[in-house]
Amino acid sequence: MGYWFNDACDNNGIIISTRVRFARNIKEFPFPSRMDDDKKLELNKKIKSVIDNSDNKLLKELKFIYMSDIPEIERYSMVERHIISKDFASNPKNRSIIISNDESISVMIGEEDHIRIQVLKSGFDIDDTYKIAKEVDNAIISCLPIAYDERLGFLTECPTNLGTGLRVSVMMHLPLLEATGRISYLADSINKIGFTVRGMYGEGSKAVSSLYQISNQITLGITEQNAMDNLKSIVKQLIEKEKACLELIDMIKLEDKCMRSLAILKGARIISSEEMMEHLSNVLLGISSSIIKDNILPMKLFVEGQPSMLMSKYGDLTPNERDIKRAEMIREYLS
Amino acid sequence: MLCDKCKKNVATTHIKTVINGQVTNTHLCGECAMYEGISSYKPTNIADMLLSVFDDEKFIDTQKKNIKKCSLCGTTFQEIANNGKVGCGECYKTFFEELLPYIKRIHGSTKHIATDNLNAHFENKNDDINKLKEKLKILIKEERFEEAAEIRDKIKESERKE
Ligand SMILES: [Zn+2]
Ligand SMILES: [Zn+2]
Repeated sequence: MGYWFNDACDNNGIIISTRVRFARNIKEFPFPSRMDDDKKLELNKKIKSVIDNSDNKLLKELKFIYMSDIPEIERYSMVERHIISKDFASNPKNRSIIISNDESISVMIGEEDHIRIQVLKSGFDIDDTYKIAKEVDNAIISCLPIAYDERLGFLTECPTNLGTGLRVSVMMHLPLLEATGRISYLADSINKIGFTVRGMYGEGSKAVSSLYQISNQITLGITEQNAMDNLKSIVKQLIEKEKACLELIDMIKLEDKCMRSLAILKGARIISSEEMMEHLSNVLLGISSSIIKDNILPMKLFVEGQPSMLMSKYGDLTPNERDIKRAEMIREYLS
Repeated sequence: MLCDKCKKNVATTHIKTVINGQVTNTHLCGECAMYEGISSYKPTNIADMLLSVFDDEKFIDTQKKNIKKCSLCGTTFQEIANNGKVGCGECYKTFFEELLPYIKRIHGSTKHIATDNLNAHFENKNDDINKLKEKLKILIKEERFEEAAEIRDKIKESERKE
């Protein structure tokens, strides 16, 4: 199956994945935070019948599942695979997910908006990701009365999504821009043109594993094409700047750092997810700077080594058992 | 480096404070720096932005009078201001004037640019009205007033539904 983290990263490991999301709501229904249980159930049924009766090829492939029918561990592992939000996993009541086999297409029903369409792919592929999302969007909204206003575009629970309701994001691995402190001033200028740079696994003051998500912040008064074109050029510039940092770095030190991390991953018997993420980030850097030439997919381990992913595969584990299982899984993959 | 306050966004503002010879370094993102009153960065947290409205005399004025509620979901502007969440699509019509300044501050614009076939899909109704209007013109020209009156009623009704 083609899970996004099972594919190689683009641009020598700098770009991890591309995500396109549409926020949509149904006319004359209160937004989710204002809906009672009956209304929520009605919403789910309404959208289920659209999926059941659609003759669109993409929609026909999707499965409709009530969140309360998915075990808790599995729900949290979906958060770790970036399919649903944390809030959606912890409050499953009267919510549902419509999802493709490879999970590249997913639609959350009853999250912050009635309908949240997401298409997630590995690598840097805004055009294709958008094309699929747009087709799913069109197929769904053409069957429903949608909350839309000529002046404000698609109406959303939070005014930050008004207009196109489109959020395009690219997940990037930027360890050198981070190490040289450049990410900070780059983020500042990216902010000024209506885009955000967000640490993906932030704890404390450092972005664990140097993974950043770049996305458009403005959705009103900008066309979908415009938002995507601007994001593309920002991402391309970030790739260039990340690569340029290589010339400033002492190669033997970099090589040492990457190879040590690989050795730790190959040898560890107990490893926490934080330690794993840190070393996988160095391995990813080793791949993007051509130090490591083995056919390794660090993001596969990165996702599969997360706590709920381990437990959904190996059953209920204590934190210590998890750290042992994680080390075992990594060794097996790297051997 | 991530922001000390929200621990999510990349820190872009770096502040050094010296109190009694003790140096403290604070690193904030644009948003958090704005809330601390340090930069003029455009905020995105609508709830905080809307809250500032309560200091507004104009708001206290409207509060004294009867409180306006959305006819579909019953939300008041105060509730939207409290959590940054709009109640339903109708709320945007009911509180259009109140929301507009904040929408402008978030997006820098208050006008959606529709592209491709979206317009066609959502403005079908308008299309119908336009067709009726064309028909009306012709009927008036041809002095078929009885039929014209019927069409005019239809247009009025369609426009009322909008
Ligand atoms: Zn912050
Ligand atoms: Zn309302």
